[in-house]
Amino acid sequence: MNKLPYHIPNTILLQKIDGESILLDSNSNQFFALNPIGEQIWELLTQSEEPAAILETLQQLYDAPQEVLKNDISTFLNVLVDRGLLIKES
Amino acid sequence: MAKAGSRLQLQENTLHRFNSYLYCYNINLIRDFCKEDVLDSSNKYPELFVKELVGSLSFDFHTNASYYNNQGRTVAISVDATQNVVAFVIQDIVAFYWKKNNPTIFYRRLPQATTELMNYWLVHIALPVFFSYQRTYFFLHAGAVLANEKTIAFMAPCNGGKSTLTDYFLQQGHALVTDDKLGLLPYGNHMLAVPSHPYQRPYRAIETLGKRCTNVAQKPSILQTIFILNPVAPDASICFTPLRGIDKFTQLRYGAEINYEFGITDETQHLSYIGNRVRMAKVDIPWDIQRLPEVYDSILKYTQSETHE
Repeated sequence: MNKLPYHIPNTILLQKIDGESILLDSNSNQFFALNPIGEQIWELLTQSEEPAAILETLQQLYDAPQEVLKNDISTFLNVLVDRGLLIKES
Repeated sequence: MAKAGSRLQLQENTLHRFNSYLYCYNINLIRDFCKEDVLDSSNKYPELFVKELVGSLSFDFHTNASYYNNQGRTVAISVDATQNVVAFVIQDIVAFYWKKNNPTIFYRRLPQATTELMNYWLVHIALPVFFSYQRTYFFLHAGAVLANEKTIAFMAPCNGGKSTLTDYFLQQGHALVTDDKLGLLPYGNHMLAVPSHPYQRPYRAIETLGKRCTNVAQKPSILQTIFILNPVAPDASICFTPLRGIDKFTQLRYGAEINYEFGITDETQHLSYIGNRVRMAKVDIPWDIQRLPEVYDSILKYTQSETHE
């Protein structure tokens, strides 16, 4: 089984207000809202799913071509990494 | 600053008279440094003791102290985790000490102490800090009044019109909940707003409690809405924008204060907790004092429309 090449730093906190997910970086004191799809990917990340499982789950939820979903997931993960909300394992 | 020596002499036998639901400023505050009754005392409420520290104190103050400036004075706070003692020191005026879960605040006079200054720093600053540390209430920097038996609160940056608007509501006969620091506690799916000390500083004079307010909320009430005041051009319209999610969180974060000990994890959880139980709306306030009556009417109408939703 391929494990995700990412991990969530323990300085990142997730809270929900009015159903909206908010990620807080306790190091930088910055916080970010997640849209519903981002929230689903984040939940899958916390469950340490393998990459294929994330794609598979989203495919079941959204009527979109596999390549599009793959791209969207990759873009989202890169944004998280750029913001320090996710660490890419070397 | 305190020197090493004997431990705090705490009145353990008073513990049973204290509980976490004591009503912040409606408590029966028993002090030995003040002749004037700043607070209404009532036997209905638990007691909080403020006593002069006898003897010296074993407390390593400097190791983990945080310093900040408040009204031109250096204020320092430090926690001795081993003894569970908190020290809160106001430069040249007074040092307060308390122990976790104990209803007694000890104080030591410093060289420039006067009764008036000690009153101010105790009631306006130290008590909210004490209650925050004891986790009795979570505090927001807000003015608040009663409207139809519920609390509405106003938050704004410094000089953002919060105290002017609070003052205008008082002039129209609304009861004061707080002029500056709003204590909150959970109540089912709501937050209760706890009345603060009965003083108001409409012009924000430093180191004084301000003027005594006669129309003061007598008991906690449900916090209905927090209005975020947004100053706009004098001729602009008065608009309301309901806030949700991260917009609420952002505003609550700016308004959260005195939560020194909580740490960011707890603070974030508290803010989310409040955000899920309170309505919030940004309100555009035309920067023209002549339009205050219009702002007042609009806020009341908005509040009433919310209750019919």
